[in-house]
Amino acid sequence: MTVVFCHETRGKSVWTETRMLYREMYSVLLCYANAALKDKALAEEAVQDTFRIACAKADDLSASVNPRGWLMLTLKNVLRNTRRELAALNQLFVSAVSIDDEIVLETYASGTDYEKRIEDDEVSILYSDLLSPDEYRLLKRIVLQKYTIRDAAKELGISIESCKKRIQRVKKKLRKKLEEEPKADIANTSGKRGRE
Amino acid sequence: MHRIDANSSREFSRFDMLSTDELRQIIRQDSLLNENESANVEAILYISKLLSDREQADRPRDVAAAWESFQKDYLPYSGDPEPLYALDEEVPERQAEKKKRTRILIPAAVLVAAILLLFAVWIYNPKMKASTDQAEESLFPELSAALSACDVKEAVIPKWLPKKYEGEDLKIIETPEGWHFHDFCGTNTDFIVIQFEQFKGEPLGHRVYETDPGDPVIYEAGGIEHYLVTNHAQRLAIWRTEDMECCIRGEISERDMKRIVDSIYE
Repeated sequence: MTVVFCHETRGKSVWTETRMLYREMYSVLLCYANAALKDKALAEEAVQDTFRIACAKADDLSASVNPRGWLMLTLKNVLRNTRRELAALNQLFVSAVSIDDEIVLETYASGTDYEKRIEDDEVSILYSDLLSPDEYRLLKRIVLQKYTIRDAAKELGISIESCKKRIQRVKKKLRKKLEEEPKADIANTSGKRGRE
Repeated sequence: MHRIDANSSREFSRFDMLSTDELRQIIRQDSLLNENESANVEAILYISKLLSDREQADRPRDVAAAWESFQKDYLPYSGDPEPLYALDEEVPERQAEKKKRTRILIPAAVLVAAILLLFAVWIYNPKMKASTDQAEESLFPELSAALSACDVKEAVIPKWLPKKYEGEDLKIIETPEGWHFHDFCGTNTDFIVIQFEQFKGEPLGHRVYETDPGDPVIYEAGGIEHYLVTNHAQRLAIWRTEDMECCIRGEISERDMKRIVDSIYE
């Protein structure tokens, strides 16, 4: 069992207040997140994350004259972050995958699902010495298979916090390597390695 | 406190005429606005509530399951105010610097504390020896007996408390999860409470402790990590053993709390 610390503010139980708000607002926020992301699992995670932040910022929520509005604005920030970070991870993944540039360009141009194409192809990471098989699998789960961080954490048997840290490390590693290599070299190397 | 369905119902009732798809489209567009672009939060709340009402089948079951998952999966990570999808920095620079400073300061502080402690032992040795002798008789005869009756063999009872907290008022309550021991020591205005939860099986949920803002201090004694936190004037020590959750709380100094914790394992 995990011990949870929840701050008490001005003698009022923030925990009780958060629980009541959760019951009232979960479905409302989920509708918003669903419409925004068009992905039920990611939408659920965004709403859970909103309430997690509400617990972390219990003082702010408690001081707000409009806690429901506060939650909605927090959710919108969470959704913006989710979109931005997933797009950034997508970009890194595509850059690092050792397939012919032509295939990527062709699939982008034809409007087909490039993620599906990458998944179907026998892929290997351009910098295989950089990412361990587990790290590659984690990246693939998040980028291609649209796993939530919770689901990826469950599969790995770790906490959400540890899973987030692993994704951060993977992202940092890939970005660092891609920044080190001149673009032209990457294109040449990826072509060669992809055929090996 | 604002409510979604108060005055806003009349103001935004025109949205009732729109189809579900149209409402979703409004939300989608709203979600694409930048942080600085103004949006009518009340209108958006109204539309989301409207959509939620239209899709309300299975909602109570969904909310209950979601709440379970929230407590189990997300709440333990509530110390971080950043969104889950903030994946740029593993450790923010300022935090890293702070950790680095802490790494240097903690051993230094421990060294100074150890020297002071040795000095204090040297000065007050006879007094402390007397106090230890008293502790061996067990300060909490009722609690000791109750825990023995429940076959608790782990060391959880302190052997030392500041003198003014003598006397105990023990309550034992059976809960769906096991047994709850609540030992009240002292007077109504000046007291220490010792609480133990003994679990029959897997705990059903998380225990919640209200604290002042800030991270808990982790104090290791007897090979166990004890979380030291404050809540207003009270100081708490919280820890887990194999099948028990333990808490000591009272308006005492951190030094006394650590001494109480240490005495458990003496």
